[in-house]
Amino acid sequence: MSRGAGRAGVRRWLLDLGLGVRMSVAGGREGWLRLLLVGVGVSVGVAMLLVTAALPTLVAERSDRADARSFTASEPVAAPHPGVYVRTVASQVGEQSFTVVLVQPDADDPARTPTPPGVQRLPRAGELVVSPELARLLSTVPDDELADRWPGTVIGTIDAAGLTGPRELFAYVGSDALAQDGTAVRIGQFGAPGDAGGMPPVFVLLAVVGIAALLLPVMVFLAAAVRVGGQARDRRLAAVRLVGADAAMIRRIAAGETLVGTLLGLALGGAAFAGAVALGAATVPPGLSFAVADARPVPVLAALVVLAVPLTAIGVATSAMREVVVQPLGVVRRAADRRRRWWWRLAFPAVGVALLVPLRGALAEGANPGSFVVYQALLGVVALLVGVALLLPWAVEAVVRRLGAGPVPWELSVRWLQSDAGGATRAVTGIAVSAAGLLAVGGLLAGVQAQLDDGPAGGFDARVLPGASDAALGADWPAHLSAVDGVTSVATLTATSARPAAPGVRGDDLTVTVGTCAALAQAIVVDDCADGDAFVVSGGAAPAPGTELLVGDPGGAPEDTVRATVPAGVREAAAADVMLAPTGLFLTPGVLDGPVPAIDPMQGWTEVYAAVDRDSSGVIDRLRTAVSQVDPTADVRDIRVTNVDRTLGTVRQLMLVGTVALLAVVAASLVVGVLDQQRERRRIWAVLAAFGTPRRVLGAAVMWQVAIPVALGVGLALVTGTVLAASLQSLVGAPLGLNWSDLAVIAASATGAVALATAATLPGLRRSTGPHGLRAE
Amino acid sequence: MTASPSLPPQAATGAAVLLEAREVSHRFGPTRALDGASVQVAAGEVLCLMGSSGSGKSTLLQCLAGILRPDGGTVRYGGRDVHAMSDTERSALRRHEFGFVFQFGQLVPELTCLENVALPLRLEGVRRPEARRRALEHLERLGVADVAGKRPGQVSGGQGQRVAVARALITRPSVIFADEPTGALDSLNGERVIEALVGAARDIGTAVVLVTHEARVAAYSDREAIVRDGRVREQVMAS
Repeated sequence: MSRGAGRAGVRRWLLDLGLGVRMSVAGGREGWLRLLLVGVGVSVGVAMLLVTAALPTLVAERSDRADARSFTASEPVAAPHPGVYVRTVASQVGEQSFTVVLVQPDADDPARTPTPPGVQRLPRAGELVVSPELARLLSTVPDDELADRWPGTVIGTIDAAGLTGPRELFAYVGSDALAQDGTAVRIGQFGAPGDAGGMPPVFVLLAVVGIAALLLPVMVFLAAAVRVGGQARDRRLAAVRLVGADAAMIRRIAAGETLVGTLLGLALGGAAFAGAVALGAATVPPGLSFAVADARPVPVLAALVVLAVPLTAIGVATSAMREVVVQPLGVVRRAADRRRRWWWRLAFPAVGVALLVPLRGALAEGANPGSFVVYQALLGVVALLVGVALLLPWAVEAVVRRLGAGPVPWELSVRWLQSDAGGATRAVTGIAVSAAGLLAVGGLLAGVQAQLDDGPAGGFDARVLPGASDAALGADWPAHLSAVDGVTSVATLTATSARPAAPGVRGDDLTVTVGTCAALAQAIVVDDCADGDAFVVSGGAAPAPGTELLVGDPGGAPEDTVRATVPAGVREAAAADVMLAPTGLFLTPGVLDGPVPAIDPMQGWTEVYAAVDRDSSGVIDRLRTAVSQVDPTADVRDIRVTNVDRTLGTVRQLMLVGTVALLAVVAASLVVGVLDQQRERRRIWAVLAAFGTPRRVLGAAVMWQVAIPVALGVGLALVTGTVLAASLQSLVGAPLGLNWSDLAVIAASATGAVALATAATLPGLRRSTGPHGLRAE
Repeated sequence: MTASPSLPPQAATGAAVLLEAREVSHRFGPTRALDGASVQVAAGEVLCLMGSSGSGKSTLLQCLAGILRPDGGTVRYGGRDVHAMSDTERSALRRHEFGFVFQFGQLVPELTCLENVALPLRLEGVRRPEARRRALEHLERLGVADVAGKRPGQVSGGQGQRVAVARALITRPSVIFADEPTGALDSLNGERVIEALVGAARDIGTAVVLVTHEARVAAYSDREAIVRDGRVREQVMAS
C-alpha cells in the first residue's frame, strides 16, 4: 500500500470513528441517558477491575511495613551488643484480633536500643506505645475489658510507618520479665525480609476461586453494559447503511459509538474506584485496615484495564454485530431461527469436573501440592463458571420455548422472552455466575471451618494457652479466673511425664494428661467418665492396674512429682482433637494423690478452660484481662467464635466485602438491562395502555420478564455451585456439605434484584402509559 | 395520459437505459413477491411503479436499488450486474450514484437535519465544513433551512421528507429511489414534497424510481409501470 493510500485509510477510519462518536453524543436527553447507562455500567466493572489491580500493591505495602517491624527472622544478639527482648502476644477485643509486642529494652543505654518503625522510643515496664485506633479503644472500652491487661502509661502512638493500616490495632508493651522468659528473644534490630513461606494452599485456592468468582461476572457485566441501546443502534446504523456505508464502515462507526460510553465509563470507574477505596479504608475491620495511599493499581495492570476495557467493549460491540446483518432497510438477525445447541456448552462444565475430580485430597491438610495443582484447580473452577455463562442462554431459551399460556402478564412476558431472550439472559448471566462462585466459596469455607471446628467445646467457652513465663508456671489459674465476673467454671488440662514409682522397674517415661472429665473431653472422647477414671488413647498400652506412677518430673526432686495408682479398668478412648495429637495415659484428679506440681515448660504444658455466662457483656474480654494480669504472654481463644483459623476469618471478611460489591454489580446490571429494554418497549407499552391494559398488568409482566430468567439462572447456579463446592471440599479433604446460609443469601439477593429491577422500571412505565406518553409515543 | 398496454417494459423516453431489471423474482418465505418482473429506467426519467398493496412494487424497487438480492434474474446499472458486486461496491454505488427517500425518511434520529443531509458527503470523506455548507444549500433550496439545527423528531412529517429529499440529492446521484415518499403526509404536504423531489431531480438530470399507489403522485412521472402479482404488467406513458 502506498503512503498516500495508507494515509487515506487512516483518515477513513478516523472519519468513521468520529461519526460514531458524534452519534453517541447526539440524540438529546435520550442519547445522553443511553450514554450514561453505558458509562455507569462500564464504570462499575472498571472500578472492580481497578480494585483487583490495586490488591497486589496494597498487600505488598502492608506486608513491607509488617516486615519492617517484624523480628521473626532477626538474629538473636547478646550483650554488649545493644538489643531488646521481644515476644509477640496475640490478643483480642470484641471480635477484633490484634497483636501486642512485649518489649524489654536495655536499661543502661536507651539511645542505642533498636526501635521499630513508627515508634519514637520503646516503652519500659509500665509503659505502652499504641496505635491510634487502639488508643481510641483504650479510652472507650471499660478498663477491665482491655486497659487492665497492660496497666501503665501510654507514652505515645505508633505512626503510619509502623502500622499496616491506619486503623490497625497494635501495641508495644514494656515488660521487665522478658529477660528471664525462655521464649523471648533478644534482637539487635527490627525488620525481616518477606516471609518466603507464602500462603497455605487452601488459602491460595480460596483466593483464586474468589477472584475468579468476582471477575467473571464483572466481565459478563461489562459485555452487557456496552450492548445497552443495541436495538436503537441497529436501527441507526441501518439508516447510515442506506446512504452508502459499507459493512466495514458500519463496524467502525459502531466502534466509535461504543468508545465514548466506554471512555466515560473509564473516567467514572476511576472516580468510583477512588470513592470505593476511601469508603473501604474507613469501614473495613481494623484487621484489614489499609492506607488509601497503598491502594494504587499496579501500573501494568492499570494500563491493561485502561486498554483492555475499551478494546473489549469494541470487541463485544462488533461481535454482537456478527449476529446481525445491518442492511439498509433494517437489521436481519442471522440467528433468528437458529436454536442454540447444548452439547458443546456442556463440554465446559464437564472439563471443569474432569479437572477437579482427580485433585481429591490434593490440597488436604499436610499435602504439599505443586503450583500445577493450583493452576489445574483454577482452570477447573473457571471452566465450571464459564459453563454456567454458556448453559444459561440455552436453558432460558429451551425453558421459555416450552412455557405455555396463562394470565395476561405471564403471557406477555413469556412472549417477550420468546421473541428475544438474549437481552434478559445477558443481564442474568452475571447473577448466575456470581451465585455459583459464591456457593462454591461458601461451601469451601464451610468445609474448612467444619474441619477446624472438629474440636469439641465440652461446655467451655474459652481456652487459655499460658506462655512460658515464671508467673504462668506457678499460677493457680482456677482461683484467678473463677473470680472474673461472668466466669462460671474453670478447669485445667496438664500434660506431663510419669514413671513407675517402684525401684528397679525399667521403661520409658509415659506421657500423662491430667484433668477433670470435662477438661479431658477437650483431648479425648469420653462418653462416660467420673473422677477416679483413667483412659488410654486407642491403640496405646496402659501400665498394669495397680501400678504406682510418679507424675510430674520423675527425674527431679520428690516435691516435683505426685503419686498416682493406675486403676483397674483403664478404658480406651478415641482422640477428640487431632490437632493436639493426644497420646499416653489420661487421668482424672481422683487417680492422683494430690495436685500436679508446677510444670516446667520443658516437661509438659498446661491449658486452662473456662466456661462463661454468655449473657454477661464483655466477659471474654474481662477473662483476657485477668489472664493477661497473671501471664501477659498467654493466648486466650474464644472457642465458640474463633475456632476458625484466623486467616480463614480474614478470607471470609474479604469474601464478604467482595460479595457485597458483586451483588451491587449484579443488581446494577439487572437494572441497566431492564431500563434498556424499557426504552425499547415504551411504544408497545403506550399502545397496550391505549386500549386499556391496566398498569399493574404491565408491571406484573415486567416482573415476570425479569423473574423467569433470574429463577432459571439461580437454579443453574445452585446446581453448578453445589458441584463446585463439593469438588473443592473434596480437594481440601473437608467434609461434604451445603452452606444453607449462602443459599438463603443468594435466594434473597435474587428476589431483591428482581424487585429492584422491577421497581426501577415503574416510573418509566408510568410515564409511557400516562396521557403525555400516549400522545408522544 | 395515454395507456399503452402493448409497450415493452423498457424505457420509452429515448434516452439511454441506465438501470434495468430482467426477469427478477424474489420470495419471502413461502410468499412469492416478485415473479419475473422486468423494467428499464432511462437516465433522467421519472418512473412510477404503481400497484396495490402486496403487488411487489416496493420489493422491485429494493431489488433495483441493490438493497435486496433477488432469487432470480438480474439487475444491471450502467451495464454492470448490481448483485454480482461486492457489498463494498454496492455500498459505494448507493453512496455515489443512488439516493433514497422512503415513507418515514429513514433519517438518523440522533443527528440534526443538517448533519443528516451532510452524512453522505461525510461518508465520502468530504471535510465537515464543506459538507455542512453544501447541506445547508440543499436545505435552503428545498425551503427547510430553518430546521437545519433540529433533530428529525423535532420537525413535521413534511419537513422531514424534504430533508430526506435534500439528503438524497446532495451527492447529485444518477437515480433516486422513492418508496411512498408521501405516504405519511397529508395531500398538501405530499404535493410539496413530490414537487420538490421531482423538480430538483429534473434540474440535475437525475432519474427517479417512485413507488406509490396515489394517482396524484404518479401524475408527476414520465411513465407508469403497473406491478401486479410480482410482474410488471403494463406500461403507461404520461401524456
